[in-house]
Amino acid sequence: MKTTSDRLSGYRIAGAVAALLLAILLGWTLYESTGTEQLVLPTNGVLHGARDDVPSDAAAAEALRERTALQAWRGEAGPSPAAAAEPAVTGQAMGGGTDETGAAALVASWLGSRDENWEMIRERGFLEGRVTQPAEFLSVLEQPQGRTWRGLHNEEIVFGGGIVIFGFSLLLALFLAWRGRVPVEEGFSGERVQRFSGFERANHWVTAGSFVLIALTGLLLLYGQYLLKPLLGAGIYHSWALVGAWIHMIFAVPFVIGVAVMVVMWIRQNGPSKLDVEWLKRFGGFLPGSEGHPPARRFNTGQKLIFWAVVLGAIALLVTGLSLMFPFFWLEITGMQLAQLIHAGVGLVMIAIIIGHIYIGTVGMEGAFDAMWRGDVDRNWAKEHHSIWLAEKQGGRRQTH
Amino acid sequence: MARMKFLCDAERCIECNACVTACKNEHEVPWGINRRRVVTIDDGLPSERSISIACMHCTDAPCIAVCPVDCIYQNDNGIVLHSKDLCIGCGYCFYACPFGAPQYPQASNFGSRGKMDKCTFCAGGPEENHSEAEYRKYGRNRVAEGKLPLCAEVCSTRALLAGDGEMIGGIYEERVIRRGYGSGAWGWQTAYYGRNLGG
Amino acid sequence: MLTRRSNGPTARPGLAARLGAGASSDGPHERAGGGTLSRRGFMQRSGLGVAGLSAVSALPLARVGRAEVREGPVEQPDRIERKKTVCPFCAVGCSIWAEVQDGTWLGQEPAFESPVNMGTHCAKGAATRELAIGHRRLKYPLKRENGRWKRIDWDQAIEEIGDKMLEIRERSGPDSVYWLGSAKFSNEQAYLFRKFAAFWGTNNCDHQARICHSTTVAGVANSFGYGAMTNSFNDIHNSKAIFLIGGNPAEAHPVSMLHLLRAKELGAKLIVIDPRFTRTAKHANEYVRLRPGSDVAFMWGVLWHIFENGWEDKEFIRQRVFGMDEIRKEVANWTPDEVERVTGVTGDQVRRVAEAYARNQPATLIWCMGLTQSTIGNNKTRAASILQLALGNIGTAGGGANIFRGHDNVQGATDLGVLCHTLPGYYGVTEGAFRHWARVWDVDYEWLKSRFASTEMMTRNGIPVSRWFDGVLEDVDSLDQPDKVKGMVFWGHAPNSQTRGPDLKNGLEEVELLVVIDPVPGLAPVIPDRPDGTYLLPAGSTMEMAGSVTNSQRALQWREKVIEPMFEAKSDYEITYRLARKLGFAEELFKNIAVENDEPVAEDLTREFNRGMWTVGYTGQSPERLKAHMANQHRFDSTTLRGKGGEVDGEYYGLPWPCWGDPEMGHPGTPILYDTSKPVAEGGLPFRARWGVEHEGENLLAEESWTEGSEIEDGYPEFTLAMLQELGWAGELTEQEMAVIRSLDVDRPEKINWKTDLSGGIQRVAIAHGCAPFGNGKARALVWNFPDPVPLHREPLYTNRRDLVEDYPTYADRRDYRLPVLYRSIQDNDYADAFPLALTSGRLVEYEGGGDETRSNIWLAEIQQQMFCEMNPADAAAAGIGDGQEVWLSTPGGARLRVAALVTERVGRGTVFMPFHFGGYWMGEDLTERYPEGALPYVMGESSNTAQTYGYDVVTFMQETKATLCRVEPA
Repeated sequence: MKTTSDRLSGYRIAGAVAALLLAILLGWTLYESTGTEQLVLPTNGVLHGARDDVPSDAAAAEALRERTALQAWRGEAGPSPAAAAEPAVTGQAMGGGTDETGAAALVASWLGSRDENWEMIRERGFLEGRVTQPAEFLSVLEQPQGRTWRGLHNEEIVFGGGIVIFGFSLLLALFLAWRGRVPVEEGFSGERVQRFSGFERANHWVTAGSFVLIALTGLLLLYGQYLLKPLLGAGIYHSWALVGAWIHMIFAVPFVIGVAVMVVMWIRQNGPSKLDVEWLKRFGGFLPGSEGHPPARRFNTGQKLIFWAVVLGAIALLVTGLSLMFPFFWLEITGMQLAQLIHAGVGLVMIAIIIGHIYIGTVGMEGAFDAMWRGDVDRNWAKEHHSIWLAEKQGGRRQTH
Repeated sequence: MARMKFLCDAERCIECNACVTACKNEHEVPWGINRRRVVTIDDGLPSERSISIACMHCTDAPCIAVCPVDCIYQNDNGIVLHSKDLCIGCGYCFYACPFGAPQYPQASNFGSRGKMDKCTFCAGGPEENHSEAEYRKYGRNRVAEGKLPLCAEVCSTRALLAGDGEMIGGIYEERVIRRGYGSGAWGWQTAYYGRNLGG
Repeated sequence: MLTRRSNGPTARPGLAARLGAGASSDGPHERAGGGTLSRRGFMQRSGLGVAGLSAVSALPLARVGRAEVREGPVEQPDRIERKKTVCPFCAVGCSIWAEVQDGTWLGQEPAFESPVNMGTHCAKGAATRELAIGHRRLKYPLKRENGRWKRIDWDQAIEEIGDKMLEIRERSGPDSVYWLGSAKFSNEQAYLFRKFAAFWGTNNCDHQARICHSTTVAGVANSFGYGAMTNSFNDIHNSKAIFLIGGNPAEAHPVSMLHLLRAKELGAKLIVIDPRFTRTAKHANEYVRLRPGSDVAFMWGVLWHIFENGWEDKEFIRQRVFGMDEIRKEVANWTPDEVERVTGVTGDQVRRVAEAYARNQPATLIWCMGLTQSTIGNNKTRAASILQLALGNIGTAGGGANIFRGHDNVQGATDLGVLCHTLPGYYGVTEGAFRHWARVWDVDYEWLKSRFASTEMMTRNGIPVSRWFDGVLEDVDSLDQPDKVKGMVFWGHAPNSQTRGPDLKNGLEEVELLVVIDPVPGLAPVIPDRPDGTYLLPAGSTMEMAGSVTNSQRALQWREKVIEPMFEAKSDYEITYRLARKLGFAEELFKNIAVENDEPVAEDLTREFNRGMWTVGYTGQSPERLKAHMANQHRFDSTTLRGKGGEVDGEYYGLPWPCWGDPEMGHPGTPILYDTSKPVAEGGLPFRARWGVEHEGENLLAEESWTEGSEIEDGYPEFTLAMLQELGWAGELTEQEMAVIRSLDVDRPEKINWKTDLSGGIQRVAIAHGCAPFGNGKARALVWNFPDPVPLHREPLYTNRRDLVEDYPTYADRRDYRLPVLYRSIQDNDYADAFPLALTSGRLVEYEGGGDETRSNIWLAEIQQQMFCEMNPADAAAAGIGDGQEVWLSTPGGARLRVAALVTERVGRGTVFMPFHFGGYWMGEDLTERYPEGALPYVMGESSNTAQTYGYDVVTFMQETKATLCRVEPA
């Protein structure tokens, strides 16, 4: 029996190169994640980064101090300062600009005075009261967990997503480098067996295409500011992000419909069976040295896992996504924060899973791609991966003839 | 260096809503957008307190940190401003904001949000000072005229203070000393001492 | 097309930016059912709910308009004009800087230099600009024809209204047209309006003071001499205790809280007495929950402790108070147990309050409509006055009876006599009063008399506003005037501020002519089902005309005209002129007043009333002096209100009346009434010797008490020429003054007194000798000419405490003000089973009065969008009502309101509270269709006064709104 590596060593080399790259990316992600999140620094500008030609109002500070004094004045006694009637007009551009060191020092000075006014500090806590406007969400006075959410979002989600995606991809690349492409062991028979109908394929690709768009735009929103904005500039990146946000929401519709159709079409074929135990024991026969592939019906256990991951993931994304699109419809602020975290987390894991699915459907396995692309597969491929299905199908065909 | 802050003295606030309407009047804020609001805790009970709240212009502002398009920024007076040209209405700043400051108009019937709107400390936005564009998007720029936010300037009982943090802190502390009690500056810890910063 | 009267572009914000501002979206379709704004209704109004998703998109975050569209001109600093006006809402009198560019009002700035508000505002003050530039105003004259509004022009409107009035006058006499004026008038317009009514020939004219503080004016004027707040808001800084009963300044007078809280921070004890734990009460050191209507019992309970412990100011009482012994006898009945039985306040708490109040001196006593709007309102205000007299708290800094008035110029409109029982200056409606004013007006008394139906009608009190509709509905036989009221003019007055909704509606439907002159349509044209005979005339707001206003602390402030009246509105002055011209007496009315482009000149009106208002000292405040005060606001001390330096040096801010003599005399105004520590020439005063020199053998003049520097070191009666002659001071009158005095009464000039002396000489000479022109008398604790000489507690007409009715019954039925009035015949019926809960009412900070203007103000309306009734959780649970649920609230008068329940501990068990600013719904029915196009308020709801029941104060016909009965059931 020929080994894959003999036959297609190019895949293994590519796998090794990819693994190396992914290992570097993963290492970089892990390294970045060990630092604490940087303080927000004043920039005096936003359209094109920090600017010194934008009036900073620093010049107004003195006038403002005078004005602040008016708020204490007259609670005491005596006539009004005559100046009160005519405020100074200021607001020139400030000179110099803010470099990062200066900005960091500034923030440090803002933080430094805590001890001086400790008497004024109330313990922070979630506070909700009543407002007269008919909008319940306004009644939350303070939700300090917003800062916690910021930390979870900017660290756990951002870096966690990198680790999951790069880590899982690295595993795939390592597998490729080690095992190479899973071959059709008996070689192609030249005889085709119909596997997916046109409708099934169309639905799959609509769903898949939607997912790719959703995933890319999701990644764009999550990582674009770090990865793309420096390249594109704020203005162009904003347009991308805006279009991305709309694509993200609009393509949720075909994606969800596609998944729903899959559920209707395929749910009965994806139920668990005894075969799955065997399949898992033998890891689908993918490992080198395994004696052929375990028997499977139309969907083997790996495909079933993808199916259920997609279905459950889609439900989670739909529910959380809708609650973000329609704020306060059924969730309060805490729920929305949680929903956002779940949405992002599930989305990232889904992306990793789908990367695995794409891998095995294309590079990872010889002959697999045809199933969803042409709709028919080679008989030998079917025999190896879906032996029972093939047998039933051929039996059935005989009966019909 | 001067650092602009808001402080609401709950012992003085009488929920007269002057801050709310002054803001609306000054910036022509449309119906449904509340840059500032007054929340009453324990309504009708002896422990009742009213607090006027808007964007507190936090130190290490979480809204800036989470904005996916970096449309929010802080200037060297500590005032947190944003660009409506860049905003995509994602709502992240609302999740992160400890004070519910960001507000969104509805952009479409598809449930999506429009450009975020929030208190500017009456300091306009990234457009040129006193320009028409600045007024239309963000309202008036009083700070550039040497004036403080109108909400604090008109506060009926001088409960809401705005301006240099040290100065308004001093005014508040004097009051506490004189009357012998104070329930603390609401929101200051969350706004100005960040995540776990500054002790 | 509508045109705004401005040269520049349309005022910002443009129509499109505003919620449903376009005329087309103002149609009846835009409201959903129920007494509140539904989400869907809101969405439609905001122009948002279009597609099927609208129900979903009506989410809080999404319920907004277009954030980025702001229209109109942008301010250009170099073209901005700054004008100072005075807030048009409550009587605190906050100054506002208006920024005007090319005739368009672009912004408003706080007036830091104003000693009253020091730059602060409440929600209403901060939204003032919108009141003028708002798009929901009445834009042009309208006439109701076959149930539809038809636009007409001013000439046609004045012509038709005038013809109809003249016809009514011909047929039924001048008393059949009722002129309902307003506390929103400037002093000048108030004066002109009263004069107008006199020239038309009727005393049937009145305004809001009747239904807000008439019992205060009557009670306080009969106790001390003048019916007004004695001290000032700023003076409260000096108080060591604040006794606040029946008032909620945090919502009704928010800026006064600036001064109250300042006092509190200086150590004053704040005691708040109210059936409801108000926004003010939460700042109190001691909050007392009182059973509605039991205020007299509570105050006597406090006084019981004061007398028991000898905390009263015995010297003050001996020198300056008459009749306190009679009070002692009544107070002795109010033992702690009895007080607790009647008021529900525990003996401990009453004692605690009495001690905190009596032992922290000086103490001020503040009250508002919680005390006044009652069948025994005058008893309550007098009891409060007596409480202060007992502690010697009148006439001292930090003390005083600080009565916070309601509307921006309700004090001025009262002083200038927009009332059915007096001419300007409290001269009354006697022949002498008419003769005095005829002289000031420079018209022949006989001609004036001929304008009235008869001398009898001329000198008879008119019908008060609280019962104007009884003048329509009563049988002619039981009316003390020739015919029923047939023509009704609402000039700046909301009908939903009057109680007994169903009767009010009948009255509005019954009159032949209904004229509404107002910046907004209000409810007068909306409540009645009237296909014809209604006219709406758009009046300019207070920012669109110049003139003076008197705030609660008697200080006069001058308003500049900020902008020309918007749309086709016209100023009150001009409308008065046009009407007078049509009715045929313009020439007499404006004999000494310049009229420019049909608009009388405000300053001329001020100068004319300066010449006649001697009784209350509205004589020294010339327009020039008032304008100087506005320009020098920054020079006044924030506590004493005394000017330092400049042309206002030594004067008190706003020349608080009495500002004696003519402007040239330079009296500084009187910052604290009855303060004997200052010379009269510098603002000191004794109590007014108003009731003669003795009563049943007892001296009514002050004993061993006089103002600083007085040359008469004892009590003395009011000054007449005869008295001057007796004192040997008559020679100090100038030739000119003597000539005027002689001309006033050729036969007996010595009878001329300080009130009718048009030369001001008698006042001048008296003051030169350190004396008060009005004498030096005692305050009266015993008002022998009132039905209850000693203030008594009497149960409300509708009460669920039947056990108390026996001990504290109301009056027998009576007649007054041309009408019969019921007391016992109502109280004899037991309504308590069917209507078990006590009902009281009050304010919300965002709205004022009937609320039409403020509910048409987009900035204010958004904050309070729903009419509600507050209920205690226990009562709500018993009735099966949840928070926010719709309920039916019904009262014995036959009215039922559909409102939302607000379940809160704020009200005590057994009490229900409703705010009174809403309108536009009528017992569950939506009246949107009856509004003229484009003038629908943003927020509508049931009017609480629709449900309020019968009951009138025995002296002034103040209506009862604070203690009646109701039943609440789930809707």
